[in-house]
Amino acid sequence: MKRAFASLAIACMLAASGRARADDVVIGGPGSEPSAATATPHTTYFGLVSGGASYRRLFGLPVEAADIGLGFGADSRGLGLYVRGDFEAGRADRGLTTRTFRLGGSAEGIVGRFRLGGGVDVLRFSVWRVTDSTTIDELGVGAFMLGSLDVVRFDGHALFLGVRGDVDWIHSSAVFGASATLGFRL
Amino acid sequence: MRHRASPYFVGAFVALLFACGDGSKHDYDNFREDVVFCEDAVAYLTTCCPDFQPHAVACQYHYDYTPGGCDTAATTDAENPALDLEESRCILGRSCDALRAGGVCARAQKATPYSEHGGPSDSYPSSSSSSHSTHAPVCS
Repeated sequence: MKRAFASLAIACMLAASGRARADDVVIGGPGSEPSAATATPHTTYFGLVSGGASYRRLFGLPVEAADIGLGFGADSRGLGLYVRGDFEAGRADRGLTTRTFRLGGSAEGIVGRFRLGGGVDVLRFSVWRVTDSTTIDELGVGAFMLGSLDVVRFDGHALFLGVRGDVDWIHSSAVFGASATLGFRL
Repeated sequence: MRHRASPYFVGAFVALLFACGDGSKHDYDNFREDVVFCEDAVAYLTTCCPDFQPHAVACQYHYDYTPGGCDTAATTDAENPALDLEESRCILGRSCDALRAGGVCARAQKATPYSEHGGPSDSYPSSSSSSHSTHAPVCS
């Protein structure tokens, strides 16, 4: 899985760097001249596709996971508002496996290539039982903070690196986690 | 011809319901630390122990309490995972070689759930008796 992510990242960067042009930047980076797009505030709609890895502690058990996410939203006047959905497949180091579906929303401030914000989501968390091949399913709510950096921008789109910290409340238990993602804003 | 229940009769019926029952407690939620650790320990044993059968071990929890009625004693029926939290932590903290050499694989395979049952005795329904199910420590 790590190789797949690495290959994806390299392919994306190569493709993006071949197409990237400074005058394509929608929102000016630090030190760059404001483009026409930033001079006149407007709303730009984006889709999000991301993938990455996360780490959580479930009752103190370390759980590592791979996650993929989809989203949709808009940037306007230095603020990005997005609806997000994520799927996460996790495994504790001794073999316990978990699955998480999330649906939520985020708000993030935009400064140049950087974004910083937070959001809330609802989630369905499942633990796979090896003893009877069923799952323990729980609903929960979560809050998160996220930050990202647009590594490459091209034609109004961007390849970004993001980090995210979560706290989930699942049946009166707090589950803390962190994740790193590579994504596209399309 | 219509019959209407007397308000006094309805009130008495409701009072009787509360007097003779309810107050029962039922908990079937398995999102618990001991259950999750038990499942992780069994997953680990499955990789460490030759021919280990994970389906033979129960990592279930439930608790049922029914208060006594007017003529019967209260009943309690509870089941806890076959590997308690301490045993699961012990298993997860050991190497596969240590688990095999220490006989943990064999003891875990035979572990039965920790359970508790309390209820009316057969001879005197208004009095209660109780029974517990346990086993020798699997890992210590």
